[in-house]
Amino acid sequence: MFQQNNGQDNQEPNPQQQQNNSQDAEQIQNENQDIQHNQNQQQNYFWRNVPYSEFQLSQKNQIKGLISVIEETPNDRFIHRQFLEKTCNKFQQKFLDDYEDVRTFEQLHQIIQKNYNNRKQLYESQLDAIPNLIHDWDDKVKSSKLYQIMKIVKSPNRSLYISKDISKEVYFDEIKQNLNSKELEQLNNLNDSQETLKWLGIFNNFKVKPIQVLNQQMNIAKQHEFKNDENQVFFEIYKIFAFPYLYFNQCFKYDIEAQSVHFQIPRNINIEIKSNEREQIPLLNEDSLMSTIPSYIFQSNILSFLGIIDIFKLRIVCRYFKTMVEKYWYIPYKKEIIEYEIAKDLAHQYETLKNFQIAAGTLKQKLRTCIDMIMNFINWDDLHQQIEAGLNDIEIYRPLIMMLRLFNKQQTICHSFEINGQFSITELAKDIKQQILDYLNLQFLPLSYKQMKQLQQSALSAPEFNIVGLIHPEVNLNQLLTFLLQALYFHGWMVQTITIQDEILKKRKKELQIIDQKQIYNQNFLKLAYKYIYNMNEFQPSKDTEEQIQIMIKLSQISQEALKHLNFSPNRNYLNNPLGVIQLNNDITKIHLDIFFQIELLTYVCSRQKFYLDDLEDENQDIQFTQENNNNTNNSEEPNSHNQERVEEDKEQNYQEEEKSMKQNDPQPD
Amino acid sequence: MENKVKLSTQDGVIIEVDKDVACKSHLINTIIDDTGSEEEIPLPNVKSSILKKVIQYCELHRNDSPPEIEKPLRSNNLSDCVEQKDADFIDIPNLEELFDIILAANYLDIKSLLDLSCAKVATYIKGKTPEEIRKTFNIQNDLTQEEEQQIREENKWAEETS
Repeated sequence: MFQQNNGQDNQEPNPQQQQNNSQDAEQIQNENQDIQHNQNQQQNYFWRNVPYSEFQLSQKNQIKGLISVIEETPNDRFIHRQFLEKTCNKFQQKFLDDYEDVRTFEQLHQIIQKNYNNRKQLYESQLDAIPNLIHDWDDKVKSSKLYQIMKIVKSPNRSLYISKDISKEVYFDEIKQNLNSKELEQLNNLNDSQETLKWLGIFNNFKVKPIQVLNQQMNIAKQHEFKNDENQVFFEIYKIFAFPYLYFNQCFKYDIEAQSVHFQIPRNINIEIKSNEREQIPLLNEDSLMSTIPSYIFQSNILSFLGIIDIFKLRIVCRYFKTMVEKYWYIPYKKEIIEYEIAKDLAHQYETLKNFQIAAGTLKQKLRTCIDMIMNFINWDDLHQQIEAGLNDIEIYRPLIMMLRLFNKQQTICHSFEINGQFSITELAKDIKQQILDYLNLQFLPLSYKQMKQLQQSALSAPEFNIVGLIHPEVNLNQLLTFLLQALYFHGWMVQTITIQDEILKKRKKELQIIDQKQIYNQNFLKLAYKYIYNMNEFQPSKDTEEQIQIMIKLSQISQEALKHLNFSPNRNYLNNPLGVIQLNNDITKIHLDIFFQIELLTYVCSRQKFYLDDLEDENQDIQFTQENNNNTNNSEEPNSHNQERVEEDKEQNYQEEEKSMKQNDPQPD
Repeated sequence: MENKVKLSTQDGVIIEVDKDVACKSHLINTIIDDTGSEEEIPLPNVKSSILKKVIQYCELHRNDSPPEIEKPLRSNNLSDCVEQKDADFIDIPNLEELFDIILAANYLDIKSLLDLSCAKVATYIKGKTPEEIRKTFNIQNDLTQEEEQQIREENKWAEETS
């Protein structure tokens, strides 16, 4: 019969093994530290420049949690199948399914390459469908229209129409009035756009009286305790004015034909930038050989064979090439953009896998410690003698035959019910200790994932292989072997996982190294291409302060001037005559403000001067009276009634006071 | 005769060609599908000399479809980017003829030939100076000196990194 090894010497791992274990543990710990150190160094372009997504952060925290759980679990728990299965399953990421049948490095490399190619193709097709690849413009401005849009917003002669869309205000339902039949008929005869009708105070077949809007705005201001700040609105306008391309995510409409781009800023204020210059498309000289080629062939077929540098250089050949390049340079650049996205994806995958590696390495190390502990309690000489003698204890035979299956040394007995001791393992199990040590040192297991799973289902999950207890010298040999079998199985599982991940990581690292450097160049190139082709300058608030102040002051002056001559007549058309002009360098911008935006500004002024509210009701009556008068006198353009004049005089006085107070309070430019 | 089609060119020449060769052109293929191959197919936008070159190309690829040409071109030498037979075919010194082939390929809807001929044009641009490009295609420089200077300044960065 078998004798258990109860010797005191074997109760603890022997010094040599202890040393091996500690070296092994130290090595893994060092590897883990290296990985973490490297991550901290952020050697990759994307880790330096692309912030973590929320998903990645949560995944990272999950892995961190998993490592803590593994580290805090006592070593002797690593012999319990249920615990091990639950823990190992956490490493069964979906992508590992592709590697289920892998049994050789060659197969593994083929699948890694295939998966990479598939992923790349998928990315290319996905990105092909997205017009804006690297911008955060929410698809509101398409790359293909960027040239035309930039021509409009950067036009040296442009108009800025600022309007407030009160149809989006909560009080609109309260103040809107149905148009009468005559008005409806007039409306139908108008060919103007919806925007023009809004200038006239007509919103989808309704009309509103500006004075009512003022009342409503004042009520809202009062409710908000007069906390309105026009500077904030002016700053929003300034941003669109000076850097429209940085706010394309606020662009809600553009009309290339009409040469206008519409932006929306808070408080339902719309800004339309309209170019007053028509673009002239240059032509090639007629005797040029190239003139026979239609422009669409040039832009789509010829340019696409050139690298971005060659395309950039083409601008200097002639005006026609310059325009073609500026319009269509993004077509060949698409390849680089796709490459950028793929590299970003690769970098994230790489990082996730690295994190999993740390956790998997920790678990593997725990299992190895546990295995070493069990092996130290086994009397190997005795076991080898029993095997040589024919092994007639089925309890010992059972874990051994399954170990041989795990090592792929035998394929005959695969199910727990097949184990009856008839199949001789005397030869196969010879020097089983060495076989176990060899198995532990394998980089690639003899069984594939799929075969290991089958073994688990058909045999290792059977009750006879699921024993509980603690590892100590008193434990029977058959129990020690059964614990060892389970630990070997899960250790093998982690070895396989780590090997596959290692190979994927090697491949990813290589791919990343190849394309990583290019991304810095790509990104810089894109920035400079934008700068030179579209005159898109970076927003640097500290450097633009003077220009910002100039624009803000000018906007403020135009607004104040407009308020001085505020006219509540609904027929006043603000589209035709600008209320002011801002001239910067050689560029001019005509400023148009609609009545509702002016009311918005008036509300701010009244908010600051709270006493205005007390006078408003009396003034309202005057204004209403004036308005009616105006309406009765065939909608005259200019206010000329006595009442209106009186109101204007009062206002003038108030604005002078207002201006005085502003001059005292506001910072002035040098 | 069933396997042949007659193509009538801009200059009134009728060229008889194998149907499977002619059908490399999507345009001809569609016409044959619609009207059959009995009647002459008029190709008013293609001269006979160019059509012969196009047919030569289609015959080269009678039994295969050439692979997509890598973009951007990795070399100025087209032999590095396409099969040698295609590089030899499109090695046409006369640019006017090359542009005619581009127009014919576009009209006849033969994508691989359009790509090949456009790639050839791209080799005349790739790595060349603006002056060389102007000379090759007989292009007049209509930029002002100031404009040219400004672009040169802007291009410095691109040239340094190329």
